[in-house]
Amino acid sequence: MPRGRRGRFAPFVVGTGLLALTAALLGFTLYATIIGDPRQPFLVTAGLAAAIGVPLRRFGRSGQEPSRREALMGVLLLWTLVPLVGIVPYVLGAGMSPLNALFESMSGFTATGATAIADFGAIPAALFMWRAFTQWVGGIGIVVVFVAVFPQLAIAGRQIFHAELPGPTEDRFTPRLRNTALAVLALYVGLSAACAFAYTLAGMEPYAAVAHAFTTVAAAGFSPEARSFEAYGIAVDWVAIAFMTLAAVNFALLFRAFMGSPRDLWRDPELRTYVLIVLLAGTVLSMHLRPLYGGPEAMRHGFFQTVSVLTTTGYASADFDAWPDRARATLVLLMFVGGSAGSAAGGIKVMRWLIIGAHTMREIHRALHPRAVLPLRVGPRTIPEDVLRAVAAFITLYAGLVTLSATLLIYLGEDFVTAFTAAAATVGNVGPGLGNVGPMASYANLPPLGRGLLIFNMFAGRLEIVTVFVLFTLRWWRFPRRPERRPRATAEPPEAGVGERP
Amino acid sequence: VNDRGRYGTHLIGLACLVLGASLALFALLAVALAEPWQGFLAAALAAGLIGGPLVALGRSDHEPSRREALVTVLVAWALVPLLGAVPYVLGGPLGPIDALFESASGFTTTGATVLTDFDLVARSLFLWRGLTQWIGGIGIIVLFIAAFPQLAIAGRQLFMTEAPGPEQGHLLPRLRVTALAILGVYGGLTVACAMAYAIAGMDPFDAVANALTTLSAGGFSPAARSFEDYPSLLSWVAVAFMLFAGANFALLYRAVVGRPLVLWRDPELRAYLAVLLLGALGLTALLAADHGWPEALRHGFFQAFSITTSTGYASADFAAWSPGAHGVLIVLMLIGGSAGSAAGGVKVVRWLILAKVTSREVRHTMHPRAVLPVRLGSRLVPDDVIRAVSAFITLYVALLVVTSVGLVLLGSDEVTAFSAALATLGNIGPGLAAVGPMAHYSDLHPLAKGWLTFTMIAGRLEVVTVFVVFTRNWWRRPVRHVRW
Repeated sequence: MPRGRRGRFAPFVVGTGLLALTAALLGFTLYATIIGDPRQPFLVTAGLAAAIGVPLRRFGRSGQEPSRREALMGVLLLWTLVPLVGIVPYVLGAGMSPLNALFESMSGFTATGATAIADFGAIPAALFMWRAFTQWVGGIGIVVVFVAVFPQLAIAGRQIFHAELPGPTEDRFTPRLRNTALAVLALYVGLSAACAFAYTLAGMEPYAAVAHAFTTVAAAGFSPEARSFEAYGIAVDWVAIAFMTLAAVNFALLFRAFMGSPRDLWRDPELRTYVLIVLLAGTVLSMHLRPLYGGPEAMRHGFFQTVSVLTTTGYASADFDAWPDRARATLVLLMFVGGSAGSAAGGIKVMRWLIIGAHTMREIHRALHPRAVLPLRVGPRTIPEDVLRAVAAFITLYAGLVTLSATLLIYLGEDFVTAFTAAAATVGNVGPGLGNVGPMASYANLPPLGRGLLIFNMFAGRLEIVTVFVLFTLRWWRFPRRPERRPRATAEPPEAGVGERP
Repeated sequence: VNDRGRYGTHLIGLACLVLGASLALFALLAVALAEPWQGFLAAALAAGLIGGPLVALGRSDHEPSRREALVTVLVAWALVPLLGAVPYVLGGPLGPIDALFESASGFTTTGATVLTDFDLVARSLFLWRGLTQWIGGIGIIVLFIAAFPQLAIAGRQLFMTEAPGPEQGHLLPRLRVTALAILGVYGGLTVACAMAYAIAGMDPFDAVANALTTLSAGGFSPAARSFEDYPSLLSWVAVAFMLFAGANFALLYRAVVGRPLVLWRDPELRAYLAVLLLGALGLTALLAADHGWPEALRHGFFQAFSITTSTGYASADFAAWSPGAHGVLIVLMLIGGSAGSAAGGVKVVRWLILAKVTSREVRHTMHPRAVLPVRLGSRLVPDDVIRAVSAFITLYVALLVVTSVGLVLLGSDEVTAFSAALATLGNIGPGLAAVGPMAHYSDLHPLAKGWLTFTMIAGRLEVVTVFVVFTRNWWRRPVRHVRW
């Protein structure tokens, strides 16, 4: 790469993201004008996004191979700047404090669904729609980034999640990337439209149907209703269950199923486990709820909440914080499972648990036969050791972050259950927790420092944590001057992806 | 001649005979104190009847297979608590399930109790309770230091290469040499501890009973309110000896025989001390508001040391402390003591390895093809140890979660369930809420008590050891050698 061109990929990515945001905001300005809501918040934000986006985009270059550092930087900056710009509509349109607005905005773009809105009556309809739309964008954004960028970055074991994709599996960004991204996007749009249509059929009014479809398919969970799905009937709930379940399936797998090989669905070990968990946990939860609601209602709430929490959506069909302890414990467990890899769902994800499970079984076996050479298998696939290491480190960091933030929240005065579930629900991008941050409560009651911490959790959780923790390493801040100085005692081949070859 | 199983038989028989002998002594003691002696005698007879034939059948000069070694460990840790439970039932205050719980809690050096009324318990039974922890403590230390490195379980092969005795030799001679060396340190420290307690003002009976459970990181105390009613000076004596109890005994041995510098060079010991200090100061700071500085300092240090080393004494009812202090205690419960001590939990060295591996993976994100070795002090951590450690921690956490959920299903509240699971799996003893240090485990559902008895034993035997039994390979009979 010629000198001086370095570092232009990240500005390009961020600039493009902001310009897309500008377009969307202009659309919302129009929408607000039509329905008679104040349009100024959207217009000001659009101006702001354009003012930052245009120079960045003009400075950036797309045609280059980005180095790893640049790719990481691009992703990190994108998920920082976009939520920051997204503060403005909440501040101007609903009079929220900047911190609460950032919380709401980050919760939107990370498809979390935790809300800092205390009074739902004070929010204009257009802003609710915008809030839902940020989640929709965040949902597809993360899938595209994961599919297109992260496999190359080999983060948290991501490299094997998409190995079967019609997309880039080698070191280079290829034109096929565009096809994959487009295919996933088409599927996402199609699912959203189908979901909105199904909601309407089930009896939702069109406005709510669209707003909910945005956040259902993104596995996100914002609802314009203060009481989430408690406000709707049983038919709507079952529609939501169906689409939430789909939203947390690997989109590439779904795409291939739609394109004519539905049998792939059944052959996929992750999908099978995922379906099994839904059925099992749904049944168990329904049984816990039977004394409370009686048969059909218990089943409705049991499956709704299982799917909602497992897929990290975070809708509530009832105030599950008021459920008995055993039902709440089941939900907390589900928070830690998460959806499938390659979907908009957050959490640790089923695939990673399968890998860790296989690894643990292998080690138990090794206690008896220490010298046995055993390949690590998940379904038909052999998992490379570097993926296993990355997955183990990911789960460690994940658990570490949850523990640490729960501890900090306890210091800030929250009770045990609130602190722990708030931490788990934000790192896992679920949304509501239990106790003071239950589904019918608001995060606005937490102390400011706690809210700041949870904003970071949502951000880190969405970007697979490791990506964010790279920032905390010394190496990141040591900018490479060529020839790159190599640290002692590590035989290190040249950085991959840097175009510094002769 | 087919010698399969002879070594295990011998070892289990030996354990039974040692147990029988101590039970017989306790029968005499009970008679002398005019307390119920039937239980001790019955248990002594049973132990003798089981142990005698086993020793006669077994052979000590035979090298065991891995399977045999594992079976031996498992059977020993099931049979001994069973025999040790008899005195609690016959002439004691407990029912069978409770007695087994108390006995397993003793031999695993946990310290969780189901005794509701300490006034109903005879002195000889209190002393017996303390002795079970002391026996369990030395048993597990010798097992960890001598046998587990050879069995390469849960990463043990790395932690213990500095143990006294022949480094790569056969299991049995190694066991003998190591056992004697460790018994020396352990016994010496116990005597010193008992004397220190007595000098600091404890009555002799309490001094002995508490010394037995201090060095084994066990935590049973003959006083119903543990260390709360003892004067402050005794708390500090206990702090000092708990510090030793949670350290690697092989390391202590080497320091005692003339190389005190090894102590400072050991990365685990340094981390262990750092955890203790940080935990103690953190607790002190949190308690200062409610208790005032001198008391906060005493309770902060006492509780941090007691929980980290998995002893489980209480100088105050910490279940009544603030949520912040509970958070610190739970983190310390998860960390645990050093490998090669009687302390339970995940252990400091495993967390060190996990942290280093995780930070390596974060660096790998930037440089995926870099070859970055993981070091512990001056030593390289091999990949198989890393894998074993990560699988161990996964199993540990999984068992913790399953147990907590199980307890919630059996009717406990969330905090009780989680802390009970953690306190038994980590061999600590008291938890929070309904199983706090001034409460007891006897109000739990009988199934819950049975399950916690299992977690105590699983936690004590490094979890993986127990889970081997649940694999299909275990039950597949080994191919016999072709005999000519």
